[in-house]
Amino acid sequence: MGVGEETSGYWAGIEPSAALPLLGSAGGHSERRCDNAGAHCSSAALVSTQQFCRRLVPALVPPLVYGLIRNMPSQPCVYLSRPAAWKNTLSGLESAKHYIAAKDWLPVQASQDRAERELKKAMVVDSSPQYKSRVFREPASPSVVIGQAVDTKQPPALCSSSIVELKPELPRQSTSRLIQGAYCLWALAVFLWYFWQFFPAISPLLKGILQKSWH
Amino acid sequence: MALIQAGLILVAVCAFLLAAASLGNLILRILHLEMDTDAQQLVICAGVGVIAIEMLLFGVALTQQIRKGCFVVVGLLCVLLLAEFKSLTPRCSQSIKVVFPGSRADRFLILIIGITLGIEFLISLAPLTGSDALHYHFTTQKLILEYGFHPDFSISNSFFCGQHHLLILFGLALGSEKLAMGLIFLGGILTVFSLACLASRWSSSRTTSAITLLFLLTPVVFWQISSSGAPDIWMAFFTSAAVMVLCQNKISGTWRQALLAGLLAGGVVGAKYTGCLVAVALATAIAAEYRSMQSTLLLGAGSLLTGIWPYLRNLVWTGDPVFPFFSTMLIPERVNFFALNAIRADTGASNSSHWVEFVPFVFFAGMRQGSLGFWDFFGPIVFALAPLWSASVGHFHKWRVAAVVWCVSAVAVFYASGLPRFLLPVFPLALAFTAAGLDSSQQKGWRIANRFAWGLVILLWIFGGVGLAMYSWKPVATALGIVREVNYLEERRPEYQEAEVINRVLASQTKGGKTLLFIRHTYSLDAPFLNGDPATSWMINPDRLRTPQDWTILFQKEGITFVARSPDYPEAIEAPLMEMEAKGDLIPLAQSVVRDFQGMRIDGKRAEIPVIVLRVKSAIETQGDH
Repeated sequence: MGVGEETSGYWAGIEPSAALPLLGSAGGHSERRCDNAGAHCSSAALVSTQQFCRRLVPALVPPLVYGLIRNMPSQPCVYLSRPAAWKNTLSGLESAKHYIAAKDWLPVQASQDRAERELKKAMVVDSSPQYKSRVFREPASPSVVIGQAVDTKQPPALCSSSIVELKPELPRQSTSRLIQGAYCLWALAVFLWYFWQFFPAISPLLKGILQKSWH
Repeated sequence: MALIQAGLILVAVCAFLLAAASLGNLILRILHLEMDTDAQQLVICAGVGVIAIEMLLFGVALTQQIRKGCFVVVGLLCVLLLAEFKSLTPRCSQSIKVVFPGSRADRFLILIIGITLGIEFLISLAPLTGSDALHYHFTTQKLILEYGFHPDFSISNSFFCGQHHLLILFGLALGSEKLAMGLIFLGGILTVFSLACLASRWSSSRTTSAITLLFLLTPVVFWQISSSGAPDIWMAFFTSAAVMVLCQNKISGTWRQALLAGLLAGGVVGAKYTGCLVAVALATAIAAEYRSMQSTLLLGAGSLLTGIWPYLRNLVWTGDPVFPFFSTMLIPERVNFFALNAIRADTGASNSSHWVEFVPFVFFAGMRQGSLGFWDFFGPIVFALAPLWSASVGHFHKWRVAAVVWCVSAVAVFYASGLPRFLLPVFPLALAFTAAGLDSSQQKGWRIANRFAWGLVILLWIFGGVGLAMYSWKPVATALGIVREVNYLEERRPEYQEAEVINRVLASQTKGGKTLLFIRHTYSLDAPFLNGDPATSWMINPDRLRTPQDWTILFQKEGITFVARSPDYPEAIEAPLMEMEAKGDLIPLAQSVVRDFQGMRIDGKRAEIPVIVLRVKSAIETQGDH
C-alpha cells in the first residue's frame, strides 16, 4: 500500500469521526492511549501532566514557565496548519498526535478540494515509507480536512499517528509577530550580555591574533 | 610515524568501544532489556560495558598487580568481543544507516561533525598540558602504577579520583599516555552519540545534527574531550544515557528499566562528588514519573552497585567517604584546616552565590568574574533560546524526565558549588531541549523567531569553530609530528621547565630519598617527591609545622633528602624553612633560571623564574651515619 493512500493497518479501527475525541487531550494527559485493536498500554506511564505540574513543578521550574504550564487548556486545542508543515510533523512523529500551530493559513477563498489535494501531495512528497497515511474529511464538519499518519515501526500499543487539520475559515493570530519580536529581542540581549561578560577572557585572544597578524 | 601512532590509538579506542559494547550487550541480554532503537541499544550497551570494565579495574587495583591485571582485562575483552561480534554487527550497520540521512545538507553537517571529531581526537593525542591533569588526574594514576594502590595525602586531590580515572590508569598501565587520553576522548564520542539519540526523540535529524555540532564546538566541551586530561566528560555521557533509558517506551515502567538507569547513574555517582547530586536528580525524576518506591529504590541500588567504590576506598583510607569535606565531623583529629579551606575555595564549596546569578547559572550562562575562563564557557544558546520552549509546552510530558534531571541537578550544583563547569553532565539534556525548541518554533510557524534562532546557532558555530582552530593548530601539529614534542611541552605545559631542572639535578645524585617541592604540576617529575604546598597537600599542616624542628622531624619521617623551590616557599610555611636555610640546615645544591608562565596560563604572560634545589643537612648526616 502506497504512501498517501488510505490504510487499514492496526489503527484502522479508529473512524474519522472518532478520531478527534480520542485525540482531545492536548496538554492534559500522556500521549499513550490504546487503540481498539486490543493492544494494551503501560499504566505506569499514564500520569497526568497537570497533576505532575501541580505537585512537583512549582518547586523546580521558574515561575514564568510554571505559569504557562498551569494555564494550559484542558480542552483540546485545535490549531491549523498548511500542508508544508506536514514534513515537520512527520519528522517529529513519535506520539499519538501532533497539533501544529499555523503561520500561513490557506487563503479563505481556497477551495476545500484544493486543500485536500495539497495535503495529499504534501503527505506523498514528505512522508517516508515508514509512515502510512491518509486524508479524509470529518463527517461532522466537512470543511475540515484531516491527514493522519501512522509510524509503522512503532509498536501498536503506542498508536503513533499524526494529524494535520486545515481550517481556512479561522483567522490569523495577530499577536504572533509581536511574540516573535519579543523572543528575538530577548535572544539578542542574552547574546550581547553574555559576550560582554566574557569579554575580559576573549580580549587577550583577540589582542594576540591582532598582534600576530600585525607582525 | 606520528600518523601511524595516531591510527593505532584510534584502532585501540575503537576496539575498546566494541569490547565494552559486547560486555554491555551480554549484560543487557541477561537482563532481557531492549531499547527502542538499535543506536540507543548500542550506546547503552557501551555505557554498561564501560562501567563493568571500571569495576573490574577497581578489583585489579586492589590486587596491586595492576599492569598484569590490566593485560588480563584486555584478554577478557578480546574474548567477549569475539563472542558478541555477530550480535553487534547488524545493530552497528543499522545505526550507521540511520546516521547518514538522505538530504545533502544533513550529510554535510555529518561531515563537519566528523571533521570536528577528527581534530579533537588529534588534539587529545598531543602531550598532556591540562593543569588539573598534571596535578592529579594523571599524576595520581602514575604514582599508583609506580608505588601501588595506596592513599597519597601529599596530593589532597588524589582522593577526588573516581571510577573513570581507572580508564586513565588502564591506559597508562598498558604503556600509553595517548591511549589514556584516547579513552577520555571516547567518553566525548559516546556523549555525542547519546546527545544525538536524545535530541532525535524530540527534533528533526537536521536540528539534531546542528545541535550536536554546536555541542562539539562549545569551548568547555572541546577542551574537556580533547586536552583537559580530566574524565569528567564521562559524567555527561552517563547522565544522558540514564535519561535515555528512562525515556524508553518498550521497557517503560519496568523494574529492569529502573535498575539499568541506576547502573548507568552509578557512572555519574562514582565519577565525582557532585555526581551524587545528579543521581539524586535521577531518583527524583523516576519517583515523579512512575510514582513507584520500588523503581526509585532499584535506581538507588543500581547506582550504589556501580558507583560506590571510590567512596568505599576513601572511607577505608581516610575515614571520610567524601574526603575531605566531612573530615571535620568524621575525623576531627586529623583535619588540616588550611588545606580544607583551600580545597573548599577551589571547588566552590565555600563560595556563596547571589540569587541574581541563579537563573543564568541554571541555563548555563553563569560565570565567575573572579576567575573567568573558557573552562566555564557553555555559550548563551540555552539561555537565549529558552523561551522557544514555550512554543512546544504542550509536549512537556515527553520532556519531563530530562527536565527534572536538569533542573534538580542545576539547582543542587548551584547551592553546593556554584562552579558552572560542574553543569557539564546535564549540558546535553539542555541542548536536546534547545533542539526541540528550535523545531517547535518552526512547526508553530514562527518563521522570524526560527530564522533568528538558527542565525544565533550559526553564529556560535563560527565562534566555536574559530576558537577550536586557534586552540587546536599547535597540538594537532604536534600530534602529527610537525612540531617537536619538547618544543610543544616547553611552550604549553606549565612548570615543565622547572620539573626538568629538578629531574636533571636529582638524576646526578647517587643517593637520595624524596624531594619536597612546591610546584603544582608534578606529572613531569621522575624522582620520588612530596608535595609541600599546604594548599594542595594534606600532609603539610602550617599549624603543626611552625618551627625548624617540626620540619626536621617531618624530613626524617618521610625520608626527604632534597628541597626544591621556584622561586619562593608558600607564605604559610615560609618562615621556618627560610630559617633553616639561614642556619645551614638546607644547603644549596644547584640553581637554574627558566622561563615559565606567570599567573594563569591563559593570560600567556611569561617570566624568568629561578629554580633552587637544596639538600637537607640532617639527611646527609643520617646517610653518613649509615
